[in-house]
Amino acid sequence: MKKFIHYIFVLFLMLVASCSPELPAQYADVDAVPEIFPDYTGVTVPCNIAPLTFRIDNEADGYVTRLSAGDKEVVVGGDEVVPSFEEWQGLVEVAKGASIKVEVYAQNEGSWKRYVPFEIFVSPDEIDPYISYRLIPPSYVAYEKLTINQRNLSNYDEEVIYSNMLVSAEPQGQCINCHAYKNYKTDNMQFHVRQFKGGTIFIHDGEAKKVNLKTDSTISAGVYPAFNPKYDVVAYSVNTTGQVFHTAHPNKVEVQDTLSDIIVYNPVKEIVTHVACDPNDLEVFPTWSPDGKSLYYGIARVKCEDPAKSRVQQLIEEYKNIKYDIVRRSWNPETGVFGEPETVFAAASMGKSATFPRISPCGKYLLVALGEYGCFHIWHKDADLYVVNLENGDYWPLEKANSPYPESYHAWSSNGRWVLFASRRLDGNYSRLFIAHINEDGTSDKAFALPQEHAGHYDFFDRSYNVPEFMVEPVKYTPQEFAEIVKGESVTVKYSPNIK
Amino acid sequence: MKTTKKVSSHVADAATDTSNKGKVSSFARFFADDAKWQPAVAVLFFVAIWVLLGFYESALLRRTESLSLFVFDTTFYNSILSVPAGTLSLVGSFLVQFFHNPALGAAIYVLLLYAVFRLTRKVFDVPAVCTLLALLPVVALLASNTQLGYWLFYLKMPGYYYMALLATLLSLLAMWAYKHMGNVSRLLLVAVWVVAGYPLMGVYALASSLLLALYGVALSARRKEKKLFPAVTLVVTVLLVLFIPRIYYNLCYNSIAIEDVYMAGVPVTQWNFAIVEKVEYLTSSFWHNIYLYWVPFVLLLLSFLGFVLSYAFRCNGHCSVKVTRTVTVAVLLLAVCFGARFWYCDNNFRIENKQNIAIWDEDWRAVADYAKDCDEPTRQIILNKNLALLKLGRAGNEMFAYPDGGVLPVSPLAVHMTHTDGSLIYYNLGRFNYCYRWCMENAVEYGWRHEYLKSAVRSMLLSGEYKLAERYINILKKTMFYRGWAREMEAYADEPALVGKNPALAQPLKYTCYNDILSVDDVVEKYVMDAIDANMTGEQSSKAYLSSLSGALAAKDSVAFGNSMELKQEITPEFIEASLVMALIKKDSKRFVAALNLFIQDYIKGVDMKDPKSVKQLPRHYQEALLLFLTLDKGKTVQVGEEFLNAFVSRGPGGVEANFMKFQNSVAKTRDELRKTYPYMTESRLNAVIAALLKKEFGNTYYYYYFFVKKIMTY
Repeated sequence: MKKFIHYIFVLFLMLVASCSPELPAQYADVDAVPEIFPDYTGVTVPCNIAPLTFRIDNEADGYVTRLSAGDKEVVVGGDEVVPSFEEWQGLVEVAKGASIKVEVYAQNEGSWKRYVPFEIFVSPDEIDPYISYRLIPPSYVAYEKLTINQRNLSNYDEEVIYSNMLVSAEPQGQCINCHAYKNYKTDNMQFHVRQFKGGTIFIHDGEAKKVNLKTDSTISAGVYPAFNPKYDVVAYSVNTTGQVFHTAHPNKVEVQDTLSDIIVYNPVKEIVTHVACDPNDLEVFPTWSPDGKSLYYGIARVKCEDPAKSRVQQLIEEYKNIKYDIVRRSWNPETGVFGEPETVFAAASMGKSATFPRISPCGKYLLVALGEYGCFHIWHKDADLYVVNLENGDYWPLEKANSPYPESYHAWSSNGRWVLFASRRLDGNYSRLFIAHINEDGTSDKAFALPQEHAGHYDFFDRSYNVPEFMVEPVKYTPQEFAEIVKGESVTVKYSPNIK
Repeated sequence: MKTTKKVSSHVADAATDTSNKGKVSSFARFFADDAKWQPAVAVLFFVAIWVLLGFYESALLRRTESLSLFVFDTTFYNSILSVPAGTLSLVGSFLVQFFHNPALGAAIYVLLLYAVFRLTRKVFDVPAVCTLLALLPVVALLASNTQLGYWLFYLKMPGYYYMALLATLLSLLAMWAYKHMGNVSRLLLVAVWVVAGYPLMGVYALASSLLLALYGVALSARRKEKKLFPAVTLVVTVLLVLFIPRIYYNLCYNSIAIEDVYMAGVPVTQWNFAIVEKVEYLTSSFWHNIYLYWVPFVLLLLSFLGFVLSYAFRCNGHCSVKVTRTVTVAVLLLAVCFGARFWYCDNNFRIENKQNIAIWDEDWRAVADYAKDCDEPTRQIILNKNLALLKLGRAGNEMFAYPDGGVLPVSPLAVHMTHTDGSLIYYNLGRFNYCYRWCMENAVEYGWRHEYLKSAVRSMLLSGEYKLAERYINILKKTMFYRGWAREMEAYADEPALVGKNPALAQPLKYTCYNDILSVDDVVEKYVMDAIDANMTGEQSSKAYLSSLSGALAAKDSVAFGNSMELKQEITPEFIEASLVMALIKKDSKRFVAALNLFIQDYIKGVDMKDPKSVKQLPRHYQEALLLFLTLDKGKTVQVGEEFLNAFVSRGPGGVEANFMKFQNSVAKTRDELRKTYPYMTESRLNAVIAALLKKEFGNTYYYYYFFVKKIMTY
């Protein structure tokens, strides 16, 4: 019996040994970087990120990949490079402030070659531990299963925050969107539920409620939200939005506002009031400064002067001429009064359109999506991320983060060192999340795709990631608890001339 | 087993009695022995089902497969497994793939049905005299699929075709195991069946666990054992069935509403939705009533309940063999009638499916030919047919020689072409963005399917969005039956210049001579007509070339002719002909003339102006339309001279012009006669009678279509 166990043990060891990949003793160097998916060559990652997994797309009979940093080395076999957590942690720990070297060896007809090694730079700047995003198919008007998910960035754990399928019945669909948090924490957060059992699910100091933000004085319920980081007010745009479709252009869809204003909501007093409501202006995407005393938003001046045509028709015809600037308005938290708007980024004067303003935690930089026209840049292939220095007005593109495909839905990490954004660059149609390191001077390093447990995750995954947000803690309510709140009655807010 | 023997001995006795009477043929002896003839009839039944499915309904099976998806990919598995009954759905999706080869797919399906039949007999010890009763669940399972019709497009449950069948098979296996277990093991089995079975089989696990528990009671009754433990098992099962789905809802599932947890695995929400919405297209036919979709499932459950009860209270040989046999045959006949009634046999639906397959096979002759096989087609059939005739260059001569009109699909659902073959129409007419749009919209609603993926690949390939095309190619490369096609397309994505070398693939590009605009499409046919029109209203079509060409012909002036030629550089002849076809369908004389202005320039290319005889006559329907519009608007829209008509229209005896005159006379004469005979007949009724009377002689002409084909229901 002992002998038998011994043989089994030896056999097991042989099996393990035969499975462990070994670097080829002889190989030829080739003057080409390996084709890997997602492209992690030369990216900068935070030291607390989950292992980067990737697939080697060069045709070969066999592969071995060596990842090394200092005296640490990990050798992985096969076309899918999936280092374990322990291996990755060991590498990152050594490479902090430096880089992990990646060498890919491929075997064809018995002979090995080595591609030009590439590096993954490891920044000592940590990233917030969680992000959340909505998963939605990149469809036009149809939708079915929508979820808002949260993801732990240091591993691959993903949980559903809320799913519309928990409540929505087939006859009446339910759209969910616009999750937002106050100061990256989840005790004050919100998301919207549209149509069936519609309302805004609002957590105020840990208590969840459903709120109806539509009043007789506003054109819609709240849409794009922005929590004031210091005070109990939330800014929203209110919008009438429509979609029309390109017959030939690769952008495929135009999402347009035909009416939009800015309001603020006081969750304590359950009141809303207007900030901006000029019918000749389209105002959208509010955001607060880190001190909570200035409100930024996008604004486009529109003229609908042809009485023979409806406003909607005119705006559709003029869609290429609708261009947004970014303005700032001071806010006095004592009186609740807003100052006059001042333009901080005159994109329209440059023939461009800037939307989705986001202020860096230090207050120095404004990050926008800049495209040729319109406000919904996630469908615009020309849309790129730009940084505006609020101190001197200089602006520049995040060159290493941008691509020929749309970039939008960006968010700053709480330490201001990372920017999370959505881009359709992987296949041209599905928006995926990318993270770029931001340097002191406001430039970025090469962005990397959100790492997934399976290297081929993005091949089949048929939903887009949108409106990603950083969080420092997970959401505490379960999806089922949210579902019960959604099914319940909502609090209806009142309109007031002053938010205080 | 005792019962079987008893009944078998009855049979033997009956056979002996009969033999005692003397001359008995082997045929009669065979039918006197239930153990022989009933299984033989059952086998014949399965063979018949295989033939019907694999050959008669081969287009339906291929369509079922093309509207499903199975990808060898972890992310795909996870997406399907994220709901209760996901495993059934996944395995079902795997098996549906084999319908790609209908004979093979049908064989697998029928073999599994046969396994249900055999297991039912075994589990319930069905006596030989009622062997055929074991076909009841088989008929129910079959009907749950054959009843679908247009639901094929709308079901949101991947692998539906096999789900009930697989669940029934597994449940029967569990019952078979249950039969040979002790009381404690049975309790454990039921508990495991609910707890572990719910994620795998959803409602089927719940229903079958209750059946298992009831079966336990029946077993104890039959074996005259104590009933306490089976009763406890039954109570525990009921409690588990009540609570386990809720526990799973709270702990595991985020994709299902609490109201639906007890029905996970059957498309209850969808069917209820159709009931609640009372969709606008509800047919008046009782047999297409939305409530009837439940009937096969109810029959399935009832048949097993019946087996369980009969197992417990079987008459143990005291029943008359004759009566039992008669009842068995009667029940089977009823079941077969039921199965036949629940077999969706709409001819238009069958033709649409055949056309779809032929379109994918680029067999445009077949697409057109199928359209001849119906009485009154749907607009989908007509659009497919017109598309085929356009591709074949036969539209101008043949498009009205086919059954015409436009009935709505026979279904309780609001069927929209955008959900069926709209994207194929868009693709083939060069509307790639809209083709892609509906692939995406439908994929969102009903999940990605082979057909959507293929359409997405082709439309993005021809749009120049190679990266996106590659995404879908990579998915198709992980399928069993489309990897070859995907590799073929990959070559085009890698080297786009090759597209131009494949005339069939590049053909839709000839319809892309339009500018990008923002628009919305509601109804495919209306959109296609309007969109093509919108590009024909420019300067090129507004000039009256027909009249100038008349002058050129009269003067034999090649300069005027040459001038007319240089204006159509951007719009392709294919696009112009499509616009002509659309104008005819719309019965729009202005559009027709505008399109004809451009069409004729290409048509007379290379003609020697000094020899008018070298000019070919226009395609027949264009001649008919020209003559009709000349008559109707008396030169307001159409301005052509005699020279033009002499050159392009068949004016001799038996020609188009003569036939048109004959048509006008026939209409007038028939109208007069009818008016005299039926002076109080309403105008619409009168027209309907005239249409019926003249259809045989003139039904293949444009003017017949213009006057008598009304109530076109596009959707």
